[in-house]
Amino acid sequence: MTNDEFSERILAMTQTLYRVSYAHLSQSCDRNDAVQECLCRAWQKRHQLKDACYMQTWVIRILINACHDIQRKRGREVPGPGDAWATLPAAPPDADVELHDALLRLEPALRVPIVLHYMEGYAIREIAQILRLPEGTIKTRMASGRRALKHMLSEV
Amino acid sequence: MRDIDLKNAFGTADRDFHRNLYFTLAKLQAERESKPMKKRFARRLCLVLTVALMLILITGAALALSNAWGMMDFLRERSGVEVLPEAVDIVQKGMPQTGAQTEHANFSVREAIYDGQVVYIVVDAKPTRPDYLLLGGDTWPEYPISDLGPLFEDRDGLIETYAAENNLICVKADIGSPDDATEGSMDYIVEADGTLVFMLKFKYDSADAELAFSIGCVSALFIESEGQTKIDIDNLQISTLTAALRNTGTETVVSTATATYADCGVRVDKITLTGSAMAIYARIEYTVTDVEKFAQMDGCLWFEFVDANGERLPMGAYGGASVQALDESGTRFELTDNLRAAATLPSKVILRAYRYDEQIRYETHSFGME
Repeated sequence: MTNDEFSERILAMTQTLYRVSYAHLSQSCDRNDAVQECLCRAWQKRHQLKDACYMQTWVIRILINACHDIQRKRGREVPGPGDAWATLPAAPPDADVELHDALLRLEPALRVPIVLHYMEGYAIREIAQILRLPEGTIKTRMASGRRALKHMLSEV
Repeated sequence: MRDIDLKNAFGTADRDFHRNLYFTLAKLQAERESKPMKKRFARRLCLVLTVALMLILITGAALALSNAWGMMDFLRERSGVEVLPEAVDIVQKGMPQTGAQTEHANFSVREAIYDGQVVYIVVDAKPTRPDYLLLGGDTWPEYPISDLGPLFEDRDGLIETYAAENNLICVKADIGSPDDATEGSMDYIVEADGTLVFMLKFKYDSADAELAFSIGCVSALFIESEGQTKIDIDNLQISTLTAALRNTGTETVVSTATATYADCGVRVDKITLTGSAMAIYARIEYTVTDVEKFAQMDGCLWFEFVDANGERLPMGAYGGASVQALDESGTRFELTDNLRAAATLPSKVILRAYRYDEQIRYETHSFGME
């Protein structure tokens, strides 16, 4: 893969990178940091990617790791129960506010598989690979997430 | 669920996100054109340095400024970390270097430390014109002026307003870690004379006596286009800053036994502590022993060093921590962290497992070190 191809593929993933980072981090500055870190790591390791067709899932995995690093750092800077979603961030102007708030109220463990499946179109098996979890775990979490979302949305 | 379209739950990527992505890619491309850092042995280094002498810039001149920020200022004032008093003795100044120059800024190394684990480096970017206002990293003209550092922290308003009031032209200036550095972080401030000062830290594990490295330096004007402020990527200026550092060395101790963290489904196989005046760098190698319990940690398992009272030990000068898989199957991992420097490496450490997303603490084990 040439450097230009790398950049083109990343730019084509802009909305995916945005949504995946949004699913993990409430602050836009943190999302920007995570994406920067993700791109630097992906760039440094781009030659290790054996098959370019896996680039998207590979980059998402790196981004999720970068998001986790930032969450960890936040936990370290603010000892104690550092729940990033204790106060929901305001929905972006072009977002569906009800869906936004409902999704962010979900536990991260339930939210991320839902985002990867319903927003990004990944199959259960692919999500299991990205999150390094058994398929059964993903199915269970998605079912729980769906139930919780329906419940929250029916209350609105 | 099928009747709910979740795709619009988060909206679409905003302007900040787009330009952050765009500039990061441009910077990576630019850095690619600079030479990656190479480990060199002292003999080979001499050749390089002999050639480089023609272009040597001595940072002593820069340090003549009474209020110039140094390495210890960044560590103390910006990161709030403590290092050993001896750290001052291993700060390298006036090292051989070839400065980088772009149309907008001259880059040079002010101070640096290399302890065999991490390169700590303070880099000056001096504007080439008095009316250039250099903005580092991800700073944009519409950001608060207080983002420019301590000199501006009591001021209100935006950078673009300050620039307009003082007839200054905003210029993006940035530096990057070498291509083969494993990870790093950066901070920056603007000094009274307009010098943009970067503090860059990046990991580079080596036992070589000397380290020669190159880092990419970029600059570009901010321009107005279609009613938006953008970076003039088409005219991005790229240059390379090259310097050589002495490896001041470290000491190492390793754990004498393993310990199983049954609640988390892992066994800690080995702890390695490597100490310098800057930090104690810790490497924790662990293996998954119970797949089900490990999966329940949801990828959020972490370890922390604690004292006898269970209080987490303060971090060292590097600050960053990370975990990576050591095998394809994801059963062996290595966590790297760093702790505050100590005069002697400990003969015993206490390690606690925890889940960082929910801040749940798990088992604690003691390890003898020798």
